[in-house]
Amino acid sequence: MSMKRKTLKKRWETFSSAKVAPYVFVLPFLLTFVIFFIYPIISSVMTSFQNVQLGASKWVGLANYKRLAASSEFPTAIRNSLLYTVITIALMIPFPLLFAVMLNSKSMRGGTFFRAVLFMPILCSVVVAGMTFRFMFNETDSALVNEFFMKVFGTRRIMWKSRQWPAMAMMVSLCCWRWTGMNIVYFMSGLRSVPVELYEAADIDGASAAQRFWNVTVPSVKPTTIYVLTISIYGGLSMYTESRMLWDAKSSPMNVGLTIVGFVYQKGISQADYGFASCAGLCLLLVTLVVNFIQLRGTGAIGKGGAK
Amino acid sequence: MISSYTKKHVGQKKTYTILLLVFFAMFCVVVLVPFATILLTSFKQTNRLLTDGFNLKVEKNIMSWDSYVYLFTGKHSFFLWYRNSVYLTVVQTLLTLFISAWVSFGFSFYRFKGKDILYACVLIVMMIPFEIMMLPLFMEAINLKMTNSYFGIMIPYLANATVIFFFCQYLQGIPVELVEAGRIDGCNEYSIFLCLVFPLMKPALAAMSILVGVNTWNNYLWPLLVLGDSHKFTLPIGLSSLIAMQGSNLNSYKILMAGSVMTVLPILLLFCFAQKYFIEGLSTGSVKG
Amino acid sequence: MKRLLSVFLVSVLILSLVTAQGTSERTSEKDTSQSTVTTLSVWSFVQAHMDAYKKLSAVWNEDHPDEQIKLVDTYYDWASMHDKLYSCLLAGEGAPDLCDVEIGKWPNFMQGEIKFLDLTDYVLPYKDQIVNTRMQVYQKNGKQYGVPSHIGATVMYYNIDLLQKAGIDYRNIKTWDDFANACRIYKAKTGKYMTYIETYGAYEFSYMMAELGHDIITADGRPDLYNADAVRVCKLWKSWYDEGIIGTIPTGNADTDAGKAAVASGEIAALGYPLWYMGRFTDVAPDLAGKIAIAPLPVFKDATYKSVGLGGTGTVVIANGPHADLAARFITWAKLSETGGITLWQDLGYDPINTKVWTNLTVTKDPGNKFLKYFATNPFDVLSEIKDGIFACKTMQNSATINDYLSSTTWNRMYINGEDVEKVLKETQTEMETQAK
Repeated sequence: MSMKRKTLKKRWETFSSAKVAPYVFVLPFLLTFVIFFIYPIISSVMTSFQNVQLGASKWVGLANYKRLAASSEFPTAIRNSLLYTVITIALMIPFPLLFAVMLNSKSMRGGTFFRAVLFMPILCSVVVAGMTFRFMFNETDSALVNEFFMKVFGTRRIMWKSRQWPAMAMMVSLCCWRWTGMNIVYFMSGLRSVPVELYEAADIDGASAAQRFWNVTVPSVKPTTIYVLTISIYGGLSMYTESRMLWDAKSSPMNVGLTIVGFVYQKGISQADYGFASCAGLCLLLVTLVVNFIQLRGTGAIGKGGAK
Repeated sequence: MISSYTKKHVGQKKTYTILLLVFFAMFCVVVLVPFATILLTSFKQTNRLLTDGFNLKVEKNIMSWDSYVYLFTGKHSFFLWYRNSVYLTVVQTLLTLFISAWVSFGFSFYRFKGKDILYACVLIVMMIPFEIMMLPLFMEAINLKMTNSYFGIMIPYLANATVIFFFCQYLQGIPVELVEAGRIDGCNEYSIFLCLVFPLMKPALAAMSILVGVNTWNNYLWPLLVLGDSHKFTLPIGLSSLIAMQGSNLNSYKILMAGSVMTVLPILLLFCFAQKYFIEGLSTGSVKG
Repeated sequence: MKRLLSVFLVSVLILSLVTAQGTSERTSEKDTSQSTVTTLSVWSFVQAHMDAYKKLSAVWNEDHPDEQIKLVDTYYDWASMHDKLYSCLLAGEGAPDLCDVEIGKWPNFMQGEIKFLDLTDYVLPYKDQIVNTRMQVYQKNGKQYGVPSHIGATVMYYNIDLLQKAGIDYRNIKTWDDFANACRIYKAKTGKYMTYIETYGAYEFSYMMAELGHDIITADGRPDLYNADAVRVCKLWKSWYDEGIIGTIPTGNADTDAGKAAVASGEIAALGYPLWYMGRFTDVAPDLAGKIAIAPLPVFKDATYKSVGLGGTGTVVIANGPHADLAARFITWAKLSETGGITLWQDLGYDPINTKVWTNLTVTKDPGNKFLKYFATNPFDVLSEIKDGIFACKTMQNSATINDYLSSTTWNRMYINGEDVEKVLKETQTEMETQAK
């Protein structure tokens, strides 16, 4: 063999050896992480100290941070996002689990069919779903939801889009409609791994259905619950497109529909104040990291490596 | 044996069954209400839409196929958006699945320096929603000249942290001996992945294909930022451009309603067809203790 | 069953791909005839504007056979379009040749380096024919950057029918006191509200302040919301609301779907809105034809102005575009010339900036014109009454933030929460001062 071919062959062998190969495998992620994660964060930090305008930017030191601290809209956004996250978690973990148990039970017929129907909303794009809910929750007497409430509960017309709690209910109901099916599917797959022997043992001990649920089912699906909890926190804190669709890309009365990401987007692009938006975005990043970290530590999920 | 368990409940089974069926039937009806409203409204005259709003009334005298006729014959870009969405979804899903599997193989079957730190980075990226990174990412896309292309839409998400994480969990169920056997047989690392491990990931691939596919099909904010030319629009962007158009071009409502139905229908059918694989994939793959 | 489904699925996909091919070929008509046809990309959020521009481009092509243009349109909804334009300008690429920029978003583009072409020279030929105060809104430092479509003079629309039933003749309403009395009589006789106040983008506040000659920002763009005039105007509206003689519009604004629906159903007997709202009437309320009269706004006794130009879209030419010069010549002609003004009036009901149109009797007395047929009074008559007293609001760097805040918070606190007007204005001013750039 010629020298060139020998070196090429050697290079290929090194390249495909078990020493070098792992780096080649994880390279796409490493590149993505550095280019599309680290770099934007750093540039975000830089711009948060600037007043970014078309063509030129001015260093303004801590001015953006001061404005953020003095803003009355930012706390509203934080409050809305946190409330939304907490309420959706409270509804989207216990109930889908219950439904999954019900669908899985031996008395159930056609569980697969119902599961499919309940999953359908996820397939609907947020744009279409948001628009539909926007019309359904209109603040007129003839709007679908109002008509229902007025006929069935005899209430007066509810102002879904301009009052704090009705607006929160509207956003939460959109979330529940879309994601309940997904969570049911997650829990159903988690339930599959619960050994039947445990239920039998509980039965022998004379446990009631409720006790079976609490003492066998719930602990057994803990990994699934943690996973669903994690993605729910993630989804709740970053919600924006839904509220954008519900209020037709306009500001909501008293900012009832303003979320943190909504605040960032509104300032950064709609009000041409990108430096200020970076500042808010960084705060959100920090909050999300902290919340997720606490949650993962608290539920004992952190520290699990990926492999052997 | 589970006989003792079942014998005890045989008597109450029927009542439970009826109760469960009734409950879920009602539940499904509620869930289907929004779909029903879009469907019904797509048949109604659009000039009544403003005054009547959305409702569930079936008013035979004002319903017609008008909107659908306009959708299929009128001069507009709905099907162009449709085609773009299909193209983007298929390409992005396939690439994401392959590349993420590629990366997760590296995490799952090797020990290397920096692995723990890098894996922690996967978790961190998983925890950070796209929306937070959206604006600086867009600025960067501008600098890297990635805007106005599908390439630019896909690139940041091909090595998808959530998918990588899921695959890593799944691969825990594949014994290391398989890989070692492959080495003994003289395969190089890459063909071990391609020929041995990747084919075994079918359930996980199926599960993630639906997840990634649905997300890409419905993706709105990022393509909105990245794309510039209208002939590159995907469905969500195109549809939303009809929603709030000022002036009162009622044709836009026609396309919007009928178009929404057409957007949801194929995905529903696809899901009914592939449901089994998806659920199987999720159960075999995910969230082990 | 499964096979049937998969066959069906595949055929649906193929069908959509094929049809998409067909449609895209239709929409991207290849022009292989003349090489002197320049393609100009235009963005807008109003289809009617595009239709008018396309119509005018045909006229242009006849007059300029060696400089023909073809307009290629892209639509977004109002919010997304401006977001996209801004992000493309930040990116330095992807922006169109021409773009409609609505006045609410105008200030975003007037900060830092202005990326629009300076149209001052292109506008010169029309200078003597147009209402220059309206042009000022789209200027910065004396340079013209955008071309408006209309004056947008604010007038009062009265439903003659409804008012007559309550025994009110709109022609007797000259001052705001007259107006308030009419509201009282209307409420007493019919039990309904004669007019409504908006809580989102409230024009009511703007036009009353304009009559007093007061803007919401100072000459250098700082917020100016807590002053005697603002308190007076807000207190006046609030007192009517508290008295129960006016209501709040559904969804807070008369130019939304629900607002237009309220107008169409005849719920509103009086509405103060710019002249461009005429098109909304003709589009959504055909049943009200012949029943709506247009009259000048009622005025304060100490008012210095009679009306104000509100709303509006300035079309801009992106500087450094490959066809910027041609685009500039086209758009200034299309909007400012007499021909352009006539088309915009006839198709869109926009009050023309070119005053020659006002004296063109074939246009202003045209019995076939849909707007003249619809309304009981002639808008040009009203225009000539108010033309010397039209206030021009400034839009500057903080305007977008201020208007967003007013719409989301200030008006809602006053009307929905029922808080004290002065307190709310004071707190708004403080918030806007800390948030000012």
